[in-house]
Amino acid sequence: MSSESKPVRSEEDVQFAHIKFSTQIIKRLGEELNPSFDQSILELVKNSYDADALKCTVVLKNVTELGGSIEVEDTGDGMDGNGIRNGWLVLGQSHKSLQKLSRLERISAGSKGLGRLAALRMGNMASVTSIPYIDPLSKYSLVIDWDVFDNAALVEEVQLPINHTSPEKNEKVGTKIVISGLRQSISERDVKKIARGLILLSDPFDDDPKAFKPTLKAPEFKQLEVLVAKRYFDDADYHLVASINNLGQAEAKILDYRGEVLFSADHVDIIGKDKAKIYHCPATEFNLWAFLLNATTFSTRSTTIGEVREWLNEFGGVHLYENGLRVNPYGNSGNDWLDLNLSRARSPEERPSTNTSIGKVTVKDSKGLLSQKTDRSGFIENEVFHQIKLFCYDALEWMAKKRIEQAEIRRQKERVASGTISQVKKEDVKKLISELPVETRVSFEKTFKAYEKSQEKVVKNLKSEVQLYRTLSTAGITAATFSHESSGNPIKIITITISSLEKRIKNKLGSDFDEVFAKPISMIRNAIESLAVLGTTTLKLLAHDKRRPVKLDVHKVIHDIVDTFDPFLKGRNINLQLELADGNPFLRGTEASVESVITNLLNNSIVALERSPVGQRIIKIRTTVSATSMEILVSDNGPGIKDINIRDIWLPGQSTNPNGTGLGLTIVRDAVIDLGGESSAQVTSELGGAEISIKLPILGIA
Amino acid sequence: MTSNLTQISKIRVIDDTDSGRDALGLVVEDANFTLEEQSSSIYNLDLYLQECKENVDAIVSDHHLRRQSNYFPVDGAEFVSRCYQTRIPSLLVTKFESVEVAEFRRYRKYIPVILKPAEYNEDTLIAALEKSINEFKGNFESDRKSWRTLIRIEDVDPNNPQNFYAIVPAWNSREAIALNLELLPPEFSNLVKPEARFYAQVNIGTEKGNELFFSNWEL
Repeated sequence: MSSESKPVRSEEDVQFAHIKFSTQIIKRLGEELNPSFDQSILELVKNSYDADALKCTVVLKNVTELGGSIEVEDTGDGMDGNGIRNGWLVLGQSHKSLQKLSRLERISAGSKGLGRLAALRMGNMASVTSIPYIDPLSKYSLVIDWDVFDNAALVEEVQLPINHTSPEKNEKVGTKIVISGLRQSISERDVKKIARGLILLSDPFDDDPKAFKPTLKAPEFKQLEVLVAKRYFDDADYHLVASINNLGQAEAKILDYRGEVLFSADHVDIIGKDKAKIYHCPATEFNLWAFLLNATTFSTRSTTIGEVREWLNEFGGVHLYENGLRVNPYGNSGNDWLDLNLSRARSPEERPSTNTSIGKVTVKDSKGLLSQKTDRSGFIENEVFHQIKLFCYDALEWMAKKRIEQAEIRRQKERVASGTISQVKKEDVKKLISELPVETRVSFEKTFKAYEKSQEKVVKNLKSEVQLYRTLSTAGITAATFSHESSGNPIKIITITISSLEKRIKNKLGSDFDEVFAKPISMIRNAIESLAVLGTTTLKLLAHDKRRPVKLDVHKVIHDIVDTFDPFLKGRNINLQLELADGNPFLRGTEASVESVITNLLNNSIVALERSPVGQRIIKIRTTVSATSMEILVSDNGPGIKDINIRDIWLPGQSTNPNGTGLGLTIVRDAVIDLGGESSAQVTSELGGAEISIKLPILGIA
Repeated sequence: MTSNLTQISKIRVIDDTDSGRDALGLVVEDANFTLEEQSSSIYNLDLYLQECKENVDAIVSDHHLRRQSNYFPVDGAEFVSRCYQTRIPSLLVTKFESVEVAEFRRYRKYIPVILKPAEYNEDTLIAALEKSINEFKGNFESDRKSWRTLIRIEDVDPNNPQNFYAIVPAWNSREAIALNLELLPPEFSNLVKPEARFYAQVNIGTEKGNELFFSNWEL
């Protein structure tokens, strides 16, 4: 025996081993990487895209029950035995070469085979049959029986024979995959999702003849296909076209439906404040079509709102295309990755929502800067993805700004035109009525006339109300200006002078002062005091704290007003009686509103008493309180409500006082409504004059 | 009555109208001080304060000084507070309108007394000047002493976020005080939100909310 044959330990004596995979791994991966039927099928379809297929047909057979099958057949470049062995069957290897374009200049969608595994595992059996472009006279086929795998311990134990035969006459270059014995049934909703996914996979909104067109043999698909082909883009009111070039610089345009440029922006306009910024992402284009779905804009079009709405409902949202293929889930229903709806909720004016717009972001990512998550639930949110999003946000922001500017101009025009518009509409209605048969026409005409009349009255009232509010506001502003002036200067001078005068006379006359001067000096003081109230009352009403809703003690407000009015009331010989209920009822509201109510009611009573020859003038403010509400009753011993219908007293401009504005009770009514209460009036009360009742809900009693 | 303030003999009155100055001056004369009226226009406040310090013993001023054109560079509240900081005893005589409360609050630390016209007479004038002089000596009455205390933000005015409302529990836990962001150091502006809490020096011994003043804000 030679020494070589002896079992001697040496450096060369190495035993080799491999990591082996349990078949359980196949099972687990298949389950965990299968997000949904539509995504799994899309994975197979993307393989067809990578194989340069122009067509790819998906057929679903008996899938609404268990055990059905799915067929995916394409016209791509196919595979030979080697391709199947070293490509198709290899899991987790990315054989995409992003730099190298395919025969049809496609950038590979680059599936790592994991999605394919998930898809193939949907059934008990999977088979692949392929006729390669490079050898069209050969056919290679392979069958995977997953039950065999499940019974084996290790993946490598299962032998998969690849059969090499000749194609039948009618068989052409391409690959066909059949998944049979489906483990789950596919619902109609899923079918629709598959159809939608296939249609959107390769940008259906582009008119590229070389485009990849996958189809699904199912009625759902036909309907959607018809729908997607409708392309209502011409009905969009604004079309945003924004793009970033290779240098990270953006530009944008807003086009009208004819494609005319309404606005355009350069990089600086889009990025806003941060002038130094460029976008760190590959060249990207963002198109968004925004629709104004209202009857006015559609009244002159051949399409109906309903059709467009249905189309948007199906395909709306902003879809994201990376190298020509759509990336799930951006733009799916419920996926609002650009926060369109949130922005719209924050400032609704002139912002598109996912229901009123459709868009696409197309990224040419030849360097593979974006990377999809393994379970196909979107991109890994890296800086590049973030930059693309930021660009889209900025473009949307710019668009919103431009549209608001336009809306403002439009509003100004509408203000002028609204009169004539309603006139035109009215003529339209009249014309329609005149075309009715006689028997119905007469009653229509009558009703419409009555309507017109009441409408005119409403408009007239509103106009006079607005006019009065404007007049009163002006009076108020002027009064406020002068109150400052009067309380600031002349009154100040009189006040100080009187003090000094009193002091000087006292010094001169000593004890004679009281007898001769005390009374006239005190009269001047009283007069100044009531004069000063004029100014402070107006200014107090304007104090801006009062327009802030707070927890409001109603009795305190009443007391404050009565204190303010006191000098006036004394000057007019009016005895104000307060009968406030026990406790301090409070509500949430503005002091200004309760003050408007009480002040206007007091003003009304004061005016009523002026015109009535009673000896002792009385105004009474009474309150009653229950657990949840309170009533304020203001009455006087004036003449009561005369010469006017009691229902009309609340209307603006209705006054029996020739110098009055007729707005006091209207303000009372409106303020009470704002506070959630009710107001009513009695022609006479126990005091003899009118009584106004205000009922207000309260939060509690302090 | 004669003044017991031996160091004060000459008082200058400031008002942008002749009649206003005359009225303020009547009381000065009643108290037997020598009256001086500022009738010419003032442009440089710093120079003017220096001149006052050298030539007069006290100042009585109205608040509105800029209604007549070019009379004065600032309003009375600011002027009187500057007098105080220059150690010139001074008094502000003006109607105290609620709209002006926030404006006055900014200067209130340096305005010991604000009198309404109806309250302005020789006795209150003398008392006010005495209060100023006492404060210069470090003797503060309880309503003017500042204490470090908690401040809770209650609400921010939705119409004007510059204005906010705060509760000073140690002063009155139920009355919200109207304040302006100007009172705070600028870096605190963003922190003013309902329920936010700060500390500041506040004269919590005063009874009237409009006399409260705030300084030395901290988080």
